[in-house]
Amino acid sequence: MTTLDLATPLVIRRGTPRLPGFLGFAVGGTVIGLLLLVAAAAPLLAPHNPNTIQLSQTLSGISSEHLLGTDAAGRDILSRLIYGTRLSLLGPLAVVLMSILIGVPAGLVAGYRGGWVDSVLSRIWDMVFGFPPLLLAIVIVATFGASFWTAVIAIAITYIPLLTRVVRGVVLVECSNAYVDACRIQGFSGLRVCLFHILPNVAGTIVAQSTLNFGYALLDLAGLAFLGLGVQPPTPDWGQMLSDGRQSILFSVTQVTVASVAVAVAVIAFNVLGDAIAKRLVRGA
Amino acid sequence: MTIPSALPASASAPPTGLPPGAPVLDIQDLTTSLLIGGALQPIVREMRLTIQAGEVVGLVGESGSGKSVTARSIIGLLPPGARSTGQVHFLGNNTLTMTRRELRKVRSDQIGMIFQDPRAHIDPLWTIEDYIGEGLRLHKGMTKQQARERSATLLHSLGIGEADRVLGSYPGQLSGGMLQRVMIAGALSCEPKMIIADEATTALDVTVQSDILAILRDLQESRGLSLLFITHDLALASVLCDKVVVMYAGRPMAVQSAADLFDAPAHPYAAALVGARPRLDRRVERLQVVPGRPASARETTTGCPFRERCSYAVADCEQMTPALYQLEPGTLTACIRADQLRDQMKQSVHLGD
Repeated sequence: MTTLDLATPLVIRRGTPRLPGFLGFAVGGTVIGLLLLVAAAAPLLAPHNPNTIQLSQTLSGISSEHLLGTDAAGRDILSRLIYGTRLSLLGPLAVVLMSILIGVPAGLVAGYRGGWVDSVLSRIWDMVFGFPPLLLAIVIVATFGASFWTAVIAIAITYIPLLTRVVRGVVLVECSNAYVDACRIQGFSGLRVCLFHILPNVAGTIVAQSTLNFGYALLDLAGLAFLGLGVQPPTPDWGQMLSDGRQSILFSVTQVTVASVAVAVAVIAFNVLGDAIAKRLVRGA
Repeated sequence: MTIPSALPASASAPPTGLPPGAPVLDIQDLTTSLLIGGALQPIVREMRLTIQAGEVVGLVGESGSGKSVTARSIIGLLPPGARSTGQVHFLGNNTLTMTRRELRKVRSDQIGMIFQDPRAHIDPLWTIEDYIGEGLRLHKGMTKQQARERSATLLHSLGIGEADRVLGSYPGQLSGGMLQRVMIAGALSCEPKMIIADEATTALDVTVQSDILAILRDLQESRGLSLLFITHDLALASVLCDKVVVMYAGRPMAVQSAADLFDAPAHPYAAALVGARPRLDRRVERLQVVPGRPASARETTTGCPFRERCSYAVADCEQMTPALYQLEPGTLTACIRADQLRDQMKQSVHLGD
């Protein structure tokens, strides 16, 4: 039997509690908002044309004209960093959208129908899961040729099973709720039940997972670009800048450093925001 | 409680296209097996049940006796892998052989269903207006405005004064009793011929329970609705139902009028249930119990499933698998000794009266 400890005063929390994950929303949201702003306003913010080559000023240090110095081809690193935001965000966005477009319907069908449909779909995803994701992406890019969009599609293919599994899982749980049966008893079609009742109820999880995936996809795409399998030079992109700067790393670490920091900040911001959304879902609902 | 009888539907029994006197629902030899642990296990066996137009039939039995599975077999809503055999004629058509599309039609506007826990059975993300209106817009082709007006009328007729506030609310903002009315409104919205109430009042407190019963009774009288009322509460069944079907281990044990059930039960199991109910009109040292534990349909083979708990069991009970037969007009029983035991069973329920 448990005894009541009367000596310890009862703690009553006062004041309105902050919404769960508030800090995550604030920090993650602000950083992502700033990144989007930079991407949108790149032409206004960048001091130089990111592709202008000045062979007279290669690998120059930090100066008033080039705030972050120049790279081996004499291009302004700050401008390339700013312009690089665009593809570095567009890539993961495309990956996430593609994975939602295919993963959500597939997960809904698998979770709602179950039976052989679920078995067949699950085996397909198991096959994709059998490969290490980045390796699979490399094989795909190597087969179809390196370009920004091949890299995006390759990474998307590795993310589709991931999202499908998550969606299938939450749909399965959702289907055990009595209201799903009640809908069917009212004579609603499976499609209607899925789209109007199950999907809205699991949308939060999809958003949270996709936000996390955005960060990871950004990292993966940067990795492919670093290997020369993504964005091709001279187009500015953070991963591609890493690859470019690696060659002159003995003379200047600026380019590699700022590109790494940019990738890290973006990935962390998306992670923090994704976690905050997930936390909200667990508490609220 | 009286319900304003300004019910929006036609007051007479809805035309069914059936010959007069034909039952709305006629279940014959229904056997339903569910997939349990990889094998099909019978949960309901040789079930028989008829409901006439405007009749209220109670389906009573202990937990696990197959009441809900029977109800779900009627509308074909069973877990994957389940199998039903026999006939379930609803308005003359066998629902067991229907295509998915035909079944959906039956579910959409011919049978309504009310459940025990309205909070779990209403999608929490939509307002009550969306909930009641969805079927109306989908099955009756109403506009949003028409559906709203009809929902409001329905709620009014169910004794909800502030229909507008309720329609704009989310399920989480309403009380259980209110939600149960909302669910009834939803079940009624498409003017079904029959309502299945699966423990519809079990989760509600007694005062709300009696309101809901009054509503159901009133609906049945004013609209000629047929009602299948599933409950484990004999007293409730006796208040509301014209006829009571007692189930045990997935089988029908007795079918008789509610009054007869309490006065002269037609089956020892029915007698035991009636004898075991708590009484308000006298103090007892101990409540009577039915000895043993309830058998489930899947563990019984031949013989009467109740014989091990039955104080009147004889050797024959092990041999004969019980089937319903007519004991007297309006009373069916599955007990082979029912005729001999008549007086004993009658005495047992009147003990101490």
